[in-house]
Amino acid sequence: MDISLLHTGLAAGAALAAVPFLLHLIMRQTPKHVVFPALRLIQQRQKQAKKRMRIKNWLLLLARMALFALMALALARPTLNTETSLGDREVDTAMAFVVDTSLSMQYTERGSDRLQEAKARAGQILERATDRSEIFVIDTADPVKPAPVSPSLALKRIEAMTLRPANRSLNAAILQAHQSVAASNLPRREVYVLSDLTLSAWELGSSRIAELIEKNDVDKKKVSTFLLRLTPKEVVNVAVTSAEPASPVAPQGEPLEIRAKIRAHGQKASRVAKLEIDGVARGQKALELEPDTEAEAVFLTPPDLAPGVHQGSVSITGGTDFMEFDDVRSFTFTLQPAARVLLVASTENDALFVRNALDPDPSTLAPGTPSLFEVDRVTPAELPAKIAAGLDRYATIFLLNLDQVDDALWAPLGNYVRGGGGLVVALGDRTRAAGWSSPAAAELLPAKLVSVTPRIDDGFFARFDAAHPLFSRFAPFYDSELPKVPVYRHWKVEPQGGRACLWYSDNDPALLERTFQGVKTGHVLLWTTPLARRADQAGRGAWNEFPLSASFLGVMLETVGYLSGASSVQLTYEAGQDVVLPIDPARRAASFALTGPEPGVTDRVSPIPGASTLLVPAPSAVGQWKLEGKTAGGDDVRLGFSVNPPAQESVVVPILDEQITAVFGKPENYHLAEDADDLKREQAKGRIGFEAFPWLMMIILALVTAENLLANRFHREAAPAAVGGAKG
Amino acid sequence: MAVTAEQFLKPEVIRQVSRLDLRAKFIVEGFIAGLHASPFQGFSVEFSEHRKYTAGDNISDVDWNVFAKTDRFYIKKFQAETNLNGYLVMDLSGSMGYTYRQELTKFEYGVSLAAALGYLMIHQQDPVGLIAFDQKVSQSLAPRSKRTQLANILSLLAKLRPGGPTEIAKSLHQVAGMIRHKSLIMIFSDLLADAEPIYKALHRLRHSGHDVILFHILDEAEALFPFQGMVDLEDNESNERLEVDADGIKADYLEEVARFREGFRKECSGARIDYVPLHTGMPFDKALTGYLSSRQARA
Repeated sequence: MDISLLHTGLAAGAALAAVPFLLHLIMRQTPKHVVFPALRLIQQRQKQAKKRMRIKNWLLLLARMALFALMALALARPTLNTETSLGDREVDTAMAFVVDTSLSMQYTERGSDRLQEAKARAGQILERATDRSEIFVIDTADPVKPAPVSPSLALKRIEAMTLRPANRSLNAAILQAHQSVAASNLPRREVYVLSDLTLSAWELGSSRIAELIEKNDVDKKKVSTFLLRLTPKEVVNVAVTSAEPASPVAPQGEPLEIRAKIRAHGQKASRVAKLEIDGVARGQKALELEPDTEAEAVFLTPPDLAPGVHQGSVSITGGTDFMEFDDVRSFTFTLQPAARVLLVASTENDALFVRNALDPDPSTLAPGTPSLFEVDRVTPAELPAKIAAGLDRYATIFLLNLDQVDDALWAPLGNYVRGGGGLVVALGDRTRAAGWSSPAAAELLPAKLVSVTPRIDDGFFARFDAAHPLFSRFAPFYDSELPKVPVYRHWKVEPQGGRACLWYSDNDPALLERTFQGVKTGHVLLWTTPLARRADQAGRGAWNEFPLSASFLGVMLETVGYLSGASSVQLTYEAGQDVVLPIDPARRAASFALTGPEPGVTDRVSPIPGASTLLVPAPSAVGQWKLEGKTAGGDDVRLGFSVNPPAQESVVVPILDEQITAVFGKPENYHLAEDADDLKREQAKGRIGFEAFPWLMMIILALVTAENLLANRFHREAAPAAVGGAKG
Repeated sequence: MAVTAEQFLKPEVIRQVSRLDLRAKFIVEGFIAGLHASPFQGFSVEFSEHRKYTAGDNISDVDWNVFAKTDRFYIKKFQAETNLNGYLVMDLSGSMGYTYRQELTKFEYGVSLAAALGYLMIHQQDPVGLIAFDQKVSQSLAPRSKRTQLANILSLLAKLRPGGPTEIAKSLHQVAGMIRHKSLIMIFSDLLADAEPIYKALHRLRHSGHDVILFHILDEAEALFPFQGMVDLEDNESNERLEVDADGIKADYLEEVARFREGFRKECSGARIDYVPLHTGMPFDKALTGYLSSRQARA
């Protein structure tokens, strides 16, 4: 920033500052010589006083000189400028308009939404731009590098903008705007940000904008940034913030719970929440919402829904709403026959706890809680028959506390695992090391059995791999629960081709995993302590208390979900996220017709050959999406997913000024305008500069006052004062 | 307009009288005349060798003639009562010769005062002596109460000339060593030297059993600082010079003088020394009243 003078010639008057100095020299007094024996009394004081007087005299002189100089300068009307002394529309300008098209800009106030308001403001600014100005139009949803256009074309582009569910952060768009205008050779560079400036639109920890501004300043490419705050004065909104089925993959034939959360912002509201599945209304609930609170609406799907993909939504009605996009939220779920799990155990007790975890008695469950698994329990002797019947129908096979597995059985078990199956082996008191040490077993098991540890009373589970899919979802819970689980004994093992993901307090592995890559990844999990407990704690089979722990249920459910691939299924996404859908290797389609919520638009997507998933890159249209294909045999394959607007768009909380300053580095790096008048003032600061005349006049006034005070104080007549007198 | 006796208490009047004996006479007479018309009336009796009768006095000592005239009882004084040697101690420093208004110098003021006191004491038949000092005691006259002593004192006083540097403290120590008997020592000085050694010298005098009256004489200009504008001040003893803004420093200076005098007042009060601050513009009766108060307290 530099200084220019509106009336340069008048600044020459600053030379008058010399007048007081000349007067000082001319009118300087010659001191009168006086004999004064009491000099010693004043010598010490006089030294200080003389110094003080000199300073005072200099101050007085300087004040008078400054007075003359400032008066001359003030008449010259100095201004603090950016890069040009011309003040207004005549200057060609490189302008970038960052238009926030996020869904929160839908908020309607006084008949127009925020985006319309942004367009109107942009129009007002562009009206005053010269024809040779270069305008960059940046949509926060569109990362494409903008090209400079004329003001009229820029206005058309801005007018054509629509709300976009998937948006970048404002930081990214502003960075792009700064880079664009800094590259321009025009004398003035400005960035206008038209946004409701909600907190969710910013990356608060990022300092990239501040760094770029600093770099541009160093490169003498000063860019002025104007933030036009379009935040609603008072936000009143009711939003569906989430609507999800209890599980994206649920067993067919049982009701499924759908939970929706509805939040009122700003004031009390009454709404009706409605559930719709496959276009048919399936229930509704009246809700009374207190301001800034959230209520939950729980629905159950009818039990007679057919197997396959179902798409539904929860919407709210029954009141005026200023932001409609968040009044509905969609979801997709798949109904399929319950996954089958095979438990192989010599006794019922060895299988009891796993069975209860996976397939509990329905009477013990809350209505709507799906039974995810159908469990079969066989003895080791019955296993060959099951193998003969085919293991593929089982999502997971558990071998629980078996003394051995016949060598002949390892081959079919290996085929099952390599075909994508999941095998869980839990060792225990019946296990014999020799029975699990054959080469065939070694090809499948993640570790070699060595010996059983002696019983200890202070053994526990200890650390676990929180990044492992078995533990990652509820890691904080396991972190507190697992170290409380007593484990008295366990098998010592030597890992072979597997990796541990849970350890005991003595640092031995408790759970090891070995994976087998194929069309579908197969897994073998080896527990070195039983997945059962004995009532008699002194008995030889009492190795741990794991089944009594709350963590047991979670680990078992996660185990089957992980091994069958069901737990990783996600069918409901937010706009802008990549969609990854599982496809059944047995029923593959070469390609799918993709139909989105926008009518009449169909696209085709194809899975990568051999992959078990189908990728749909970042769909942005909000609503239900369907995929339809045919297998080589001509069977129909239907998939689907739902896309919702980002939940944070419903939270219209404005960013604080300090937070903006943190993003821009310092307050001088941006101009925040609340309304059109404010913008004019801020533009005047950025363009004409900050006219210093009134401030100079204030300083002059202060100086005149100070000069008077000083002069009166220094040169006033001392009141006559007698010192001393005889005592009477 | 005829000059009344009281007029002679004014320095500007007394300076017109060149003879010191006359000055002393006029000052004392003016003072006494003033006393007759003042609340101090009665003190004059002290000068007529009488004092008030008090319980315990011998009734045969009552002066019945005075009783006949005044209807009050007065006792004739005895020699023993007034046999207190007085010493007039004059500071001859160069600074004492200073006068800003070209009227009485501090020294002349002090000499006039000393002469008046000498006059008074001789008339009361008190023995009076004189000591003058600059860097050391330079002149001295042993105390006597004869009438001729007054002439000797006035003659010596008239000859004294201030000038040059001074050592007040050292000289006062010397005085303390010189005077053997308990005496009344009246010091006339501007005390323009380091105060601490002077304090010690005054204490020394008191410890030797003497009564001390300290007449602290400053020039009127030194007391009131009447200067304006830029002035180049010079100490006539040390010849040091200092250029100051008189208006700017006046308040500070007066404060310093007050502090200077307050220091002496406190020290003297602590040592039971009578401290009489004066300047050359003040009437002499102030000084004489100070003396008389002191005498009365000792009577």
